[in-house]
Amino acid sequence: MSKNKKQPAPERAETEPTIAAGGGSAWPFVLLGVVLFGCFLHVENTGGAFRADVFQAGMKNSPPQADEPPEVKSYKRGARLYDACAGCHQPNGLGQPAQNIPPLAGSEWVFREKPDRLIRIILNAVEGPITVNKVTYDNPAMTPFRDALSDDVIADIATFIRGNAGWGNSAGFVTPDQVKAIRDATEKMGTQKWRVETLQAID
Amino acid sequence: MRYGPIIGAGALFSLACSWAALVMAPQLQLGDLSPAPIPNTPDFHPAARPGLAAQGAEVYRSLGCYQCHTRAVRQDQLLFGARLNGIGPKAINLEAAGSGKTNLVNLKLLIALAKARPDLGLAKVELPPTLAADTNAVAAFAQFTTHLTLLKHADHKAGIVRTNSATVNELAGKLPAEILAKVGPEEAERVVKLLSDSGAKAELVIYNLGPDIARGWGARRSVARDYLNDAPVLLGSVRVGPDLASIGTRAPEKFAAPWKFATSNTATELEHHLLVHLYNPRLLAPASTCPSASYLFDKVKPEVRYAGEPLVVAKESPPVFPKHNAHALVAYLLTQRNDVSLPEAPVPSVAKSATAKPAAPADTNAPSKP
Amino acid sequence: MTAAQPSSQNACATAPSVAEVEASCRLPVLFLAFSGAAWLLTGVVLALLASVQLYNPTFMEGCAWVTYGRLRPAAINALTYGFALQSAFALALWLIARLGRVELSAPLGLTIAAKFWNIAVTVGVFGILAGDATGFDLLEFPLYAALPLFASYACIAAWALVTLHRRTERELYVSLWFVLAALLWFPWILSTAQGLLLVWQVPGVVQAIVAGWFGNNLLQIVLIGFALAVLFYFVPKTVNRPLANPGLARAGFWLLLLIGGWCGLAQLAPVPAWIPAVSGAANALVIVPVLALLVSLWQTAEGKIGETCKENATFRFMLGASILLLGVTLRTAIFGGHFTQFTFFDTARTDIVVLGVFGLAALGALHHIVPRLTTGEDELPSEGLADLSFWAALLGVIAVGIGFTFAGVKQAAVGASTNDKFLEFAVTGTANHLKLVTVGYGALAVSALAFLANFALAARRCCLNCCGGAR
Repeated sequence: MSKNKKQPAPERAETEPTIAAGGGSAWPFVLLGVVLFGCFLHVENTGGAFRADVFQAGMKNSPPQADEPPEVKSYKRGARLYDACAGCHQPNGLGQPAQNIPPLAGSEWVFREKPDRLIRIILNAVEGPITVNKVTYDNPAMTPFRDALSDDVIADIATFIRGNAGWGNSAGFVTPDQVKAIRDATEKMGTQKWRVETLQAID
Repeated sequence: MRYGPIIGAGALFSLACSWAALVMAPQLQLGDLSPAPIPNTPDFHPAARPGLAAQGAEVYRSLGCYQCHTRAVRQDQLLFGARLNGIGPKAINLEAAGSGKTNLVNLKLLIALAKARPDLGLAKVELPPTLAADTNAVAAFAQFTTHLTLLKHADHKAGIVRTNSATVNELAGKLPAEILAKVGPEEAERVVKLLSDSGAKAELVIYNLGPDIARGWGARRSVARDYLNDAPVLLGSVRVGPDLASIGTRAPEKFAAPWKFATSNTATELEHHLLVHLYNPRLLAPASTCPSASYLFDKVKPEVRYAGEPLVVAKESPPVFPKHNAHALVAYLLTQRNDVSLPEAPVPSVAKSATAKPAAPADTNAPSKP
Repeated sequence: MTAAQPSSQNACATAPSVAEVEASCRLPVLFLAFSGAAWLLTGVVLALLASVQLYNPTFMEGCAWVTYGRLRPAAINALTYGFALQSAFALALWLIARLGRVELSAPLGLTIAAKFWNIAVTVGVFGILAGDATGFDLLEFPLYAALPLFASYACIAAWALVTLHRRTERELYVSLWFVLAALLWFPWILSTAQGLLLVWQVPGVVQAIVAGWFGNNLLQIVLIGFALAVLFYFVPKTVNRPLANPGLARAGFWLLLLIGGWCGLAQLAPVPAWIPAVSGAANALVIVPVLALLVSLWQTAEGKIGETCKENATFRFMLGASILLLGVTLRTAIFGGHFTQFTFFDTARTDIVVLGVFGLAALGALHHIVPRLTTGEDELPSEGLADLSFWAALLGVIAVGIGFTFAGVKQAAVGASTNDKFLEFAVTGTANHLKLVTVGYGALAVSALAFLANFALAARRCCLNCCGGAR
């Protein structure tokens, strides 16, 4: 490689680069248009419709949720249907001790292993002094719901009452079949209410 | 151009465009995210980190672990399926009377199944004589046969093997049954609705597919909500080492250097494993290139009140004493989980409907009179 | 043939001569250039040590100060803020002064500001090694180093803009477009990023988006912008031809500003799908302005490339930088998608841009500027060292690029399948490629040393000329 660099080329080092006249091509803009079209296609296909909840490229909507198990659905329905009971037993499940209305929260009558007593109480109500959490309540005013509520509704309400973690309950859920079985077995009671002593004999 | 301000204005405009699109728009979309409730529990995800784990996040950042580890699970596909769990009420017994067999079939369900899987073959079925007299059953069955499709093998495509039976009753006998597997969300939802409307119990099934998930590095992809409590976010950009998004809940067999639990005290064992890994990764994974963090451990029992438990790293070596930062870092790693189902990234639920038991059955032998 | 327009038709009689202009530049530009080269050597050595730890984890283990997780960010930030940006300021000041035919404002003030920049970078690098890194790529300096950095930049940029405003040559040449845009862009993105990440923190994954946006803008607009400024000055000058097709250069400039800021986020994972989609599209779209700019340069040099390569050391550097610019742009557009996510493939982009595209262009420019400011000649004293510097730098960058790229592809193959054992294929299997990276960093260190030696020779000759024989 021959170099004659020891002689500085003053005219080259002192001048600045110059600009040729004219110039200007359209091809970058044509190419831009073509590539931009491709970009739009790409974003259309993988961009998730610019939604904040779409993370999977290729999907356009947020994913549908897997179905909840039927017991969870029953619980959620029961939470709404509980309004039928909330008038007396209060939305917080603590009852009204002043009116002799026992609480449902933490009640040993509610969270027994089998829901039999609870279903019977909802169907036909209970009268007589009843001891809940060491406090006795004596209120004859609970109405039987045998005719007012169907098996499904009673099952939902019972699931909610039994499983309400906010109340400290976490017993198993109740199915409409169980309610139907007890309803049929106690057909002959009509609207007669249970006595506390009789119920205590039931598991 | 003669005018500098034109360039300045143009530069500001260009910067503002990319800033608006890539800084402001994501903040507007994601800035309001809050932790989501975990189904069936009072907890939320992501959970706020306890103090030791929060300090551990600082140690993770300070040592630069994010230069080699990512904390984000990827997912290639999110697909869906439809699973039939129960045939529903009003099932008709299709076996001939006196045969000694009972096969309850819901005809409305069969019609719905036929509509759901028109791609499968047909098998002719005769109505048993007891049903042939039932005008309702005959009409439903006529509709069924004219729809002309029948679930023959239910899911050859999804690789679910069934015994080769041509009777329509096969499906009712083997529940839960996968009607559709690995299809798009709209199709799966349509089939679930179709089956539910016929009175049967059907549920939507989720498939999270991708190498990361198949490798056991997570149950679903990581989404923005997983990082709400992280500052700095420390996502990582290179996987020189394995991903850590679910290290707190990962099964030992799924580690890059698999191991097994020796006792039933799995939480303590996992913590011990991670501490030994910090002390010298080569003890657990000889091929690992993770640098050893032995400066997080004391060789001599420190003269402080709460020196903590000594750590036995190897049989022949004397025990070492993890310093506070080592415990903090391990506590942080143990809070990494990725298995909670979120609205934007669902996780497949175990087929609970078939296995969940209601409360103990009602005892109808109880007294029926007050 | 197109007629060349004389560039000094607006220079009035009171415009300073080139010698006066260069005399005013001498102190700040030489200081910045020397500091930049020293940080190049430091950064490359740190990167070399870090790269050894990737396949030999027992190297320097047991000391928290030099664990890989601190060494690598220290190296990259030293290279970016210590070498790249300082050299960029040196080049910017020189280009503004020369092309605007104006003496530099406040050379002493600029030197002091540059000194503070160096102090801030030093404090920052030590802060990272001490464990105070922020956790965001290319923004790892802790706040106590980042704020003085920003303050000293403000001074440098202010004086640079004042000088530009006072220019006697009112027509802005192409290089000054890039210089002006980059000088303004840098504080805007730095203040936005530091504000949103360190001061008023955005929540969660938005931090990763902002950090990625900052890193991309720093590489794609600021550093590549400075590199293009240098290319557009030295290519026409060394081939001794006017810049062909300035309209193409103008189109390329504006398109690069508009599109370049959107790239770089294509491999973010836990973000809504539209962000990687848009950014990946921008990665492809940015090919258009890069092509336009490179075609303009090529049309300028067409036909004289071989001959100028042989004669002129600076041109060789420019040619290397242009080819690497085309390479890194195409590489990111074609392969920078889902397959190579979370691999070394994207790590290579930072190294190639900082050390290859900008590094080669800056070294080439400094091979011209340093001798002019010291000895008055336009080549450095030692031809051999200049050749060594070029070949070592080029081969070093290529080795680092190839090493990381193929290691990344191997990791990507493992990441895309479930059967491959991670440790066996992604860790042990990439060791050889990472050894190539170490070799590359070694070559780059040799190149930096060669340049520094050449610089020292030129400075010695300059001192001898000034002081004569007075000892």
